[in-house]
Amino acid sequence: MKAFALLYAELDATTSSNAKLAAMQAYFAQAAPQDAAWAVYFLSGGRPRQLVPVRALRELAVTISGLSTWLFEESYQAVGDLAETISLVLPEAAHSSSEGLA
Amino acid sequence: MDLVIARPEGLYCPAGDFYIDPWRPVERAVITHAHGDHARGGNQHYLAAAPGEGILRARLGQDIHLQTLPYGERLLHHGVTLSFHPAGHVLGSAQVRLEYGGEVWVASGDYKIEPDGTCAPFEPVRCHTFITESTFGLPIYRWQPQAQVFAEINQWWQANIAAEKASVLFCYSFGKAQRILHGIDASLGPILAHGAVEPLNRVYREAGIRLPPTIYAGEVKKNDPIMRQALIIAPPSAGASTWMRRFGDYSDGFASGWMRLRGTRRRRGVDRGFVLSDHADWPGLLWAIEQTGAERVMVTHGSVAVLVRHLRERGLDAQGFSTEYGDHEEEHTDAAEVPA
Repeated sequence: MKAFALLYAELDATTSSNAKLAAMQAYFAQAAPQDAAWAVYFLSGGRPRQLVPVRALRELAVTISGLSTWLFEESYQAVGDLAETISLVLPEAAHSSSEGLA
Repeated sequence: MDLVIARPEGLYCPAGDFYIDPWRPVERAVITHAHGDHARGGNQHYLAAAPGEGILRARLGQDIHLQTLPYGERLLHHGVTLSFHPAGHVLGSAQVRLEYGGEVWVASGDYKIEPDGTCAPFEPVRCHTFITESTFGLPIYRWQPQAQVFAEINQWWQANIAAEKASVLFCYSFGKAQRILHGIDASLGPILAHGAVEPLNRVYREAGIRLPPTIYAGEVKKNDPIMRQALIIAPPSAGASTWMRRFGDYSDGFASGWMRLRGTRRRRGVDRGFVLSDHADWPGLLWAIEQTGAERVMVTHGSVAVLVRHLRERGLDAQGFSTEYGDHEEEHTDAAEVPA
């Protein structure tokens, strides 16, 4: 998961197609086959069926961030993307995980 | 009685008969800092904090009628006691403290909480009424410690040197540019400054702020090999201009609090966004307001409605003040930012 997150950050950090290609080559050269398969799926726009309902995500984000619901909604209006909004209002995580993508 | 009211010309102190950062020409203007939306030309008398004198004169003219006061020193004008206190925003930036008939008001101008070594750090001032900005008045705006941001910039610069590319970093030319110069690792390679940035570097150096040596970008020839190792500091307006052609193959970045959102960075079309602001973030705004002990808070610009509602929920008497101050740090209108 970490290697894929790093790849995503690299892809996001450049507007050059060559640099994106190089980042993907580096990732796929070292990724485990089952992770690489999922990476191809995600990079080509695949989305698994939703496991957690959006409403539950919203409510959890409001609870954990400690924000009023209206303040969370204002934030969402400014960001325009729910996943990004949630990532921006949650406190820094104390734990980390090194599980693979698969 | 209100010590400061909003008038068409700007924030006005009726008891003292002067304006704070007026946007239309007036007789007496008290200036919090020299950014273009706060310090405008055409006023008859200016009063500002002493460390801002060099910048104010460089921007508004050497011959303006300007009186200065060191931070903390008091001046009595028409019965109003006025003093300046550091706002930590840019060199010379100040909060204005007004005292009249036992009532204390503080107008903060723009402010930043984290000290950065290029200006006197923010000092909370106790008051009854606090006039605050709210540029980044949403909980999504939380800054990382600046050391982390400078490390990211250093890393990006180093990677570009390895790839034989120039590193063009866009940032506002007054304040942000000097803060970056002060904070990055200048031993990595040569640093070039755009024509809008270099004169301000000079003013900062004259004020005793340590900045690494910079080369005026206009003096470097188009295919000079130092370009491929250089960090180039330029205002955002240079990005879309032919000025960029001289750098050949380059990577570009933008340093601003707005880079916190992926969407704003994508719309900029730059490779890298560095989240670095000279304004307080959301926790910073709330901390500063709390430190003043004020029960009444006037919010001037940015996310006014959000901050007002949030403060009211916390039991403060908060309201919005309509002003013409900019709410986008990258959009300060600035006559000095001509391509050069």
